[in-house]
Formats: sequence, structure tokens, C-alpha cells
Amino acid sequence: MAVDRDTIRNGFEQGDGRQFAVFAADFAAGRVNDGKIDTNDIAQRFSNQALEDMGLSPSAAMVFLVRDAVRNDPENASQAALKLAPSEAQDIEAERNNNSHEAQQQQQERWEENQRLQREQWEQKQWEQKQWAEEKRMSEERWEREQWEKEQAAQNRPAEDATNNQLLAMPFVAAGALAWMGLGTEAVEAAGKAMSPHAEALGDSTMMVSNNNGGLLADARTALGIAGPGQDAIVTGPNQAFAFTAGTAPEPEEPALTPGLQPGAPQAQIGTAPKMAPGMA
Amino acid sequence: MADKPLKKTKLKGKSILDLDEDAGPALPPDFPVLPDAAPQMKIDVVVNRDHKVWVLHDRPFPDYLEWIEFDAETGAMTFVSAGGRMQELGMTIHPPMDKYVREAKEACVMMIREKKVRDMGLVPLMVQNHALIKGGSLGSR
Repeated sequence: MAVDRDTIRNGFEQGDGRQFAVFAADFAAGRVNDGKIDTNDIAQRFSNQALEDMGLSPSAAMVFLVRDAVRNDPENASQAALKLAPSEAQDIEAERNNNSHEAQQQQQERWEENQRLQREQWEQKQWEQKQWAEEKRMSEERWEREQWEKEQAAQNRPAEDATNNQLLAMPFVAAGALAWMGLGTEAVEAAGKAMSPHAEALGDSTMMVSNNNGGLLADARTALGIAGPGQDAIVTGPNQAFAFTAGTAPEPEEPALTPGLQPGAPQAQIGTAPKMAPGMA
Repeated sequence: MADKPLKKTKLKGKSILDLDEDAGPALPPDFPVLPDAAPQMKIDVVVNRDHKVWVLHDRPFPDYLEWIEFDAETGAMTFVSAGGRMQELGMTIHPPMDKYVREAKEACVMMIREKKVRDMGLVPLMVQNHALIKGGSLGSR
């Protein structure tokens, strides 16, 4: 069966879709020209208007029809093609359109999914950048704060060193001098009172060697508010002592309270002296 | 027990510290031995029956006082400054007072002037007992 452009066009012009179906079947079976299926060639063979009249689109419908005809019955493709009515072709085309729509919808969904993923990735990247910027800012602030502290320490170090040096260099004598000037006298006395048990024990009966007849002991007791026992002993020589009453020191030349004691006598006899404090034995 | 304590700084019966008074060369300021304390200031060394020792003085020591040494054999008391300079008390601690001092471990040093305590501190008191060493007993107290 010889099919040419004019035959098809005439068939279409007559509104008979079967002509197209026959052509398609022949085309698919290799009985058209060189037998190659070329949709472009087919589209060129038929005008869009003719296809529209048949309810078909230029490319998809024809390819579908040819493929379907060949698949069903390659040998009798023409017969199979004849079974294809224009209405059926329209249904097929509609289904194809639906499939296309679903595919498009799926593609849209995939695109949206990709967009969502890309947006999430972008947001993740933005968040990471923000975190990195925050860490960088905190690191810079920390560094600035450390620098500031170092500078402050460097500025304050001379004063601190000077204070420390003053404290460390303040000698025992200087502290005494300050106290002598009246500065901190009360504090020194308070410290003395707190220096228990020495301060409190200063009120006990004592023995002493003195170059001022025990005047300093009386002064110490007065300063610390400690009442002495009234009897102390100044030791002037080996086993020689005389009584001393705080604040009323006798002259060293006065007779001692140890008339019976001789050099080399047992020390325990000191306690037997008539006016010796009883606790000193 | 010797009647007179041995003076560590005696040289041929005369203290080297007396050289200045005898028109000798003046002592350098960093001389390690200072003049005795008793001629320099009023000073009391007091002890009670509980072996508590006080050193009362009315003038500051020439240097920061680090510790006090007491020679139980001679009854001499020496003040040792932080710089290692030594200053003797200048008075002898005779019996029976010395037996209380030799049991002490520290001394309370007070500077008193005008009936007020101007300074106060506790310093270690080291007791040297050479008699024990000579007698074969170890240790100094």
C-alpha cells in the first residue's frame, strides 16, 4: 500500500482517522519509505490542523499509536491500527496527559523537595556561620578582656608592688616607731592582749633581771591593764634576789629577800624565801 | 657554775666593743656584733614559773629581732637580728632564774615607752646547754 503525504492529507481532510491509522501501521511495519520511525518526519507529513481534527497532538499521539500498533500485532499492524478509533486515541492522549500531569506533579514535588533540602542546607549553613561568627566574637571578646586585664594588672602592678614592699619592708622598729608616734597604739595593745597566754601570764609572780628596777614590767602591766601580784623578784646574782613590787621598785642596793641563800645553794630554796612568790618555788 | 659569765667578745680581758671608747678604731656599721643592750636601753628579762619569758625594753633594737639565744651555762642572753648581727643582753641571768629560762621555747618581746606598749612580738628562744654536751649528753635545749 503506497502511502504518501497527499494520501494522508486527503484522508485527514475527509475526516477519516483511519487513513492516519493505516499510515501509522504501515509506517511502523516498515512499509513507509525507508521504514525508519521519525516522529519529526511524521509531524511534518501531517499538518497540525489535521491532527487536531483527529484529536491528536502532533508528536506524542502519533508515536503512541504507531508503537501500540506495532506492539499488538506487527504483522497486521495495519489491521490493528484500524481498530484505533479517534475516540480511543483521545482517551489515550488524555491518559497520557494525566500521566504527564502526574509526572509533572511528581517533578514539581521533587523540585519542591529539592528546594526544601536546599533551603534546609542553606539554613544549616547560615546557622553554622552564625555560630562560627558568635564563637569568633566571643573569642575576640575574651582576648580583649584578657588584654584589658593584663593592662590593668600592668598598671596596678607598681602600686601593688609598692604596697607589698612597704608591708614587707616595714621593719619591726618602724612598726614600733609608728606606735610610738601614737599611731596604732591601741591596736598594739589590743594585739598584746590578744597574745595570750603571754599577756595574761604577765600578772604572775616573776623573776627578772633588770637595769631599771623592774620599771618596765610595771609599765607593761599598767598598759595591759594587768594587776600584778605585788611580789616579784629581781635576781641580782647567783641565788641572790630581792623583792620587787611593780611600780614601786626598790633600789637594787637594798637587802634582798634571800638572806639565807648563798652561792651554790639549791635552787629549790628560792621558794622558801620568806617573801618569794609562792608559785616560783 | 661560774660566778662571772664568759663574754664571747672579750679579747684579752677587754671587749672589742670597748675599743671605740679607748680611742680605738670605730666599729664599721655592718659589724656583726653590736654593743650590749643593757647600756643602750632600759631592759627587763622576766620569767614566770610556767617558763614564759618576756623581754621588755624601752628602745627599739638596732635591727629586726629574729631569735634569742640563751647560754644556760653562762647565763648570757644574746639577741640575734635578721641580718645575723648579735647583741648581748649585757646582764647575766643567774640562778635560780636561769632554770626557768632554759625551759622556755619562745620569748615575748615588748617595747614599752611612756607606760604604753609600743610593739610586741613572739620570737624563738634557743637555749644552748654546753654543760650537757661536755657531760656526754647530746643536745642543747
